[in-house]
Amino acid sequence: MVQINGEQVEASKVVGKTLLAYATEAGYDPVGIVIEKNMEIIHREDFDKVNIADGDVIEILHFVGGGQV
Amino acid sequence: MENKIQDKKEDKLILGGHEFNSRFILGSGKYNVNLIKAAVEQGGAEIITLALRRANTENKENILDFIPKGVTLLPNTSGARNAEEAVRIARLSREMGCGDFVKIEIMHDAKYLLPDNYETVKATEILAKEGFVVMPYMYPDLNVARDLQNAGAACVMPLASPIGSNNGLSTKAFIQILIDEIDLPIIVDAGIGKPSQACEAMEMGAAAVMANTAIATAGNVPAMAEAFKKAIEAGRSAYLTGMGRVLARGGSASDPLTGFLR
Amino acid sequence: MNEENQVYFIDSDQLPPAALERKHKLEQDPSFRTDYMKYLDDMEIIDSDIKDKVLKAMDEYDYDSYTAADVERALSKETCNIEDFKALLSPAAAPYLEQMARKAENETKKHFGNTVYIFTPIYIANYCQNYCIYCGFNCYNNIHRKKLSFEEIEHEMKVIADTGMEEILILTGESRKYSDVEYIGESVKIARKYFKNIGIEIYPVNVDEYRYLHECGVDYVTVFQETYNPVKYETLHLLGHKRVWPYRFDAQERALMAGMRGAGFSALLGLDDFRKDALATALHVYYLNRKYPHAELSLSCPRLRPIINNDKINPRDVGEKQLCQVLCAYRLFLPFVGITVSSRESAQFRNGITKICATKVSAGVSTGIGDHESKYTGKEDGDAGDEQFEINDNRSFDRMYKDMEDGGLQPVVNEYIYV
Repeated sequence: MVQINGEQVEASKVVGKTLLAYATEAGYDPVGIVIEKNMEIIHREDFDKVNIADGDVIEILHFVGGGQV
Repeated sequence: MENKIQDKKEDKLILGGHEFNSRFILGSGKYNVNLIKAAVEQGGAEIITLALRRANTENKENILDFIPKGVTLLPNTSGARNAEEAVRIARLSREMGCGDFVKIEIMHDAKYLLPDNYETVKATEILAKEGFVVMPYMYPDLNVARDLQNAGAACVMPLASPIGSNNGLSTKAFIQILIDEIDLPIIVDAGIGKPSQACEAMEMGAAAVMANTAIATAGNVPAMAEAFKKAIEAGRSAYLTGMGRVLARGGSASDPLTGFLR
Repeated sequence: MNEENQVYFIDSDQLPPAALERKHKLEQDPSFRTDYMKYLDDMEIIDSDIKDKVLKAMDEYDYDSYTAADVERALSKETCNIEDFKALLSPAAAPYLEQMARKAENETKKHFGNTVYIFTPIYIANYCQNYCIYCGFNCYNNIHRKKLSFEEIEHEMKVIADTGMEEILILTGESRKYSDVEYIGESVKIARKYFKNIGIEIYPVNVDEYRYLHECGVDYVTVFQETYNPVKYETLHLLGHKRVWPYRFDAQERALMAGMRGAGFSALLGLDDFRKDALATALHVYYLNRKYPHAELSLSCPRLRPIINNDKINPRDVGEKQLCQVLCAYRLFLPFVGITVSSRESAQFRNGITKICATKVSAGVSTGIGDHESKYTGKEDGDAGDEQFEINDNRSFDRMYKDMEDGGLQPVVNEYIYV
């Protein structure tokens, strides 16, 4: 299993894909996001070089309005 | 307090070496992103805060597209409950490529949302060393403010009242102490509910005011942003000019104190 | 200013011709003197920008540019900033002296209540290796020199402690040779037996030496800068360690770095432009307070006094009214600092000023060496060392205590516990 933004995803669906490929397919705008994989920041230029592996915990984040509300 | 009386033309807010003409920091929460541009423009804001959250695939709207060019983005660490989480969020935010500013917000109190000063000092120390322009939100405590200064903060952001309360300057006396004693810009944050309260903070010598809820919940968001802008400018001018004399009430004692002098 | 009525240079007929020639050369030929801004080899240099800030502010201070409106604005405010303080020190504030005093009284009451502290100084040696032309201890002045033995110190301290005094200030002439740090440290250890609170006013030393003295029992270090104007300073301190202006300036900071609880500051009003010196003194305190917020800082305000062999020395343009203005301005700008008024001032002045802004007075004072017993009891002692300057208010501890009480104040001998 792979955990993406808190949700469990079947490994067979995503393992082996690059982060860029996954994000694009899933419908994220790769320009407006940051990705953290297993607590490590993945730089944007590496999105197409880093592959998803079984057991990964991935956070895909973006800016929104607000603060502590 | 340093001698802050200076030529108005050169009256810049300086944060981490960056100069700003506006002393109004605008929050971006609780209102429609379509209003952000108008609020920024009518409020004359040059800094806007943002939060980092999990992205979703349904709503592809990117808030950055709604913020006018040239406005400095100030990501906050809201959601962080301790220094470690705040540092993590700050680093992720910087990865967005929008500059080195970060506003530290650390709360582990869900009821009042009061900032955790101790964890805030720890996060400030780490992030300042990593080159961030650190703007810590804090409960106005002089010793903590000194610790933040020593830790490398670019300013200190004491709360006026609990966040979102619109209660105004409940902590006035303590914010005044920070203004008098700390050699960093003091930016009043949280709880400012009305333009008059923002004006009062500026008259006291605050370097800037940050507001969100008061504007987000107004009948007309951009118009309220403009009202805040005017109030902040009025307060700043009054502070720079030097307040006029307030005549003391009551009579004066009979015997002169200085009668013994030869 | 009235420079010409000050006659500093006095030649003793006891000086050997070679010494006299050197003295004259120092007085007349500036190129014969050493560089007053250059630290000597044994002087520690600390990293501090406070000197530069104070010098800059003093240099920029144009007190004639302040108006009555500036003074009124300053008086109407709850807290007094640097600009307000400059206005209160300016000539424009002179007509507002009574208002300043009332406001100062209020601030003093807020921070100190009705209390007034009483202490006494003890001079344990008057040897000096400096030529400071206004001072009775200067190395060319023909006075009776003395350094107390530890037995004599113990005896003197016992005499003082018997009067009820609990706080003491130990002073020496500035001579590392005759009064070395260890001699002072041992004296402090003796003082610990008799007093609860010990301050020193000695030549400036390095951080490790202050640390040693703190371990011996010292908590407060007082160093007078005399004048904050280095150019004027150079013309008054012609010879010796004391000639080095910046090392003296940083003395209090070194003391705080060494763990001392507090430090005392002062310019000797009358040496140079007193308004600029008062500004610099207060800013020195202000900036150190910001850097070391835990430190207990205090101000003194001595004016020039006549000395042995020169009764013409006087405080020039610093009259009692000017002194009162400076002290009220100090109080309004730095409401939390202690203000000491010494026995250089009259009993009448000290009774009045303690009601306004002074928080500490000395009593039972002698600036001579080893003559407390004779002064307190009338017993003759032909061997006492000569005095640094002539005091004005010679009230005893008991008399001072009673006078302060009669003035509505609460005298305090000590409320401090050594940690």
